[in-house]
Amino acid sequence: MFYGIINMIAKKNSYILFALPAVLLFLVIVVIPLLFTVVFSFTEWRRFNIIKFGTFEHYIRSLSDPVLGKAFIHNFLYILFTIFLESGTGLLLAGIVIHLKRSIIYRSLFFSPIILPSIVVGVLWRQIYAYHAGLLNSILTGLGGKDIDWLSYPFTMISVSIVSGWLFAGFFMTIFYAGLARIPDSIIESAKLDGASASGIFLKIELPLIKNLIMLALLIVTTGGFKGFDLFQILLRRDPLESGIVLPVFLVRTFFENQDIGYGSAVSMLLTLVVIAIIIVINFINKIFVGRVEEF
Amino acid sequence: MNKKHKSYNREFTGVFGKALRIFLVFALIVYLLPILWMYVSSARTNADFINAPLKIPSRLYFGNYVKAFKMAKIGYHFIISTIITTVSVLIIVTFSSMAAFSFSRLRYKGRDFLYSLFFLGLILPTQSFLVGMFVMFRVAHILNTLWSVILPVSAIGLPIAVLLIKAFFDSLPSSLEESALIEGANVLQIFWFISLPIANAIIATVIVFNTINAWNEFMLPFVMIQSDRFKPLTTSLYVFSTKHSAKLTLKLAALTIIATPMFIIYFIFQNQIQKGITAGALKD
Repeated sequence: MFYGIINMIAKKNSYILFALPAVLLFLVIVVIPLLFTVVFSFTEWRRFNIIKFGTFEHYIRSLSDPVLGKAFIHNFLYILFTIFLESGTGLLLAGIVIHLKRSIIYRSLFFSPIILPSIVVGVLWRQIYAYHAGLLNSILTGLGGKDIDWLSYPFTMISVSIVSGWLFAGFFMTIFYAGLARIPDSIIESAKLDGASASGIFLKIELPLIKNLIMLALLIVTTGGFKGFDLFQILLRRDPLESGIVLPVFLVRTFFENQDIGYGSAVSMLLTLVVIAIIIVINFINKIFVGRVEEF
Repeated sequence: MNKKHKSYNREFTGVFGKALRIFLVFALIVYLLPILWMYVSSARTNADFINAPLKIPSRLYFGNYVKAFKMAKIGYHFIISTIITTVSVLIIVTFSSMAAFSFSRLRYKGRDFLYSLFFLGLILPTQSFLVGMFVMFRVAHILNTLWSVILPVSAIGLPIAVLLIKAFFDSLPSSLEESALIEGANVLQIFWFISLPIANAIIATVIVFNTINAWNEFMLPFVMIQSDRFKPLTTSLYVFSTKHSAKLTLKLAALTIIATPMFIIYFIFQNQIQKGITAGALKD
């Protein structure tokens, strides 16, 4: 929405000074390092010394790197799980609370974990999943089951995803709830009078009316699935068998711990390309099937 | 968030409504169990806890909190986190409100290009420039200083803040500013005395989510700051928890000390915080 008068204040080129601090900070800290990273990804390094420019070696190496391949697969698994555990659970919760009176206390409690720093969440859940004296195994053995090593293969990815779900379901509930609350009560009420079932109201009336928010949630979960670092690092620490290695962790290990700047930059570029590709694909789907995303 | 629908007629009543409510209460208990467990277990001795992690203890031991506070140097790292958060949020709010004001209210050469630059920041993950930034900071000798976290946290917070504040200015007519201009005020005065006060609601939102983001930031200090002297709470707690992995209840006590004030702040300002977090995260 642009009002015609907005740009009426006189034009003067010195006004650029207002934008300059923000622009400069952004250029120096984001744009220039981004360009560096692009160049580095074609450069051969030994520790912190450049040896050779113009090599494609890192990209070729990345194609046959089994650990990187594993990381990619884990990222996709993580996204698959968190679509259900984060946005799916959030949608379910929103669908329930919207139809109950006095739901504010539920909503604020479900939302609350997200304010915690990832370090608190990670260390707490590491203890919950712990083999000895863990909450989950104590419950399991109490019920007559066996101890399980939750943070190693084949449970690693689902265990981390559950923590993500626990952390973010309330956030998605809040988004979906806000969308559902905008649907006029009269629509729901007349559907109820016409004898629509609860599932009918949810699936046929409410869901289609918030499909743009569902697409938005998908976008956040899928791009977020390639950015998540904290929980993996804190829950799994060294993770020597790489049962839960994901791209961001692989990246930090490559450039930071192994000081392989060239290969790290190439991995970083791959990660960036994947995220941008996802954004483009989801926007494309959005344009074709959903229409404009409502300003929220 | 929308609060128009206070009077309700879409409530499900009868057996089905009751079933929903019971399900919800059950889900909430499962959801809050980890937190409850953290609180109860943090007040137990290690030996008592290891024997029966699930038992409701007959005697609580509060010595853990004092010990954890001292051993994890929570007071010291709290100050570091406070410095990082305060400076970053100040930078973000000042720079982004000035830029947004100029993008919405002023005209100069290159304005739209500069504005479009910030869209780049909305799609780029931090990881895409992390390596270049790390090498740059190393060469500039600011690795292991607070600036190595403050600068990126500020720069990453800028784009969404600029967008939100600009959108807010755009949604308001600029008649107030214009009449001030006619009265002879200069642009700086207009920005400070008129535009900024008008935007206080959106600026509060920007402050809230950037404070939470900066306070909770883990990856940047993990990579940038190795010396214990400059570690914020998040990464110092990481080191503490790896060093003392066997002292389970002590670790849980440290977490409780960090989490409790955050819960209190959340329940006092929950509307602001929910609004802030959702607005901030919707940048994607």
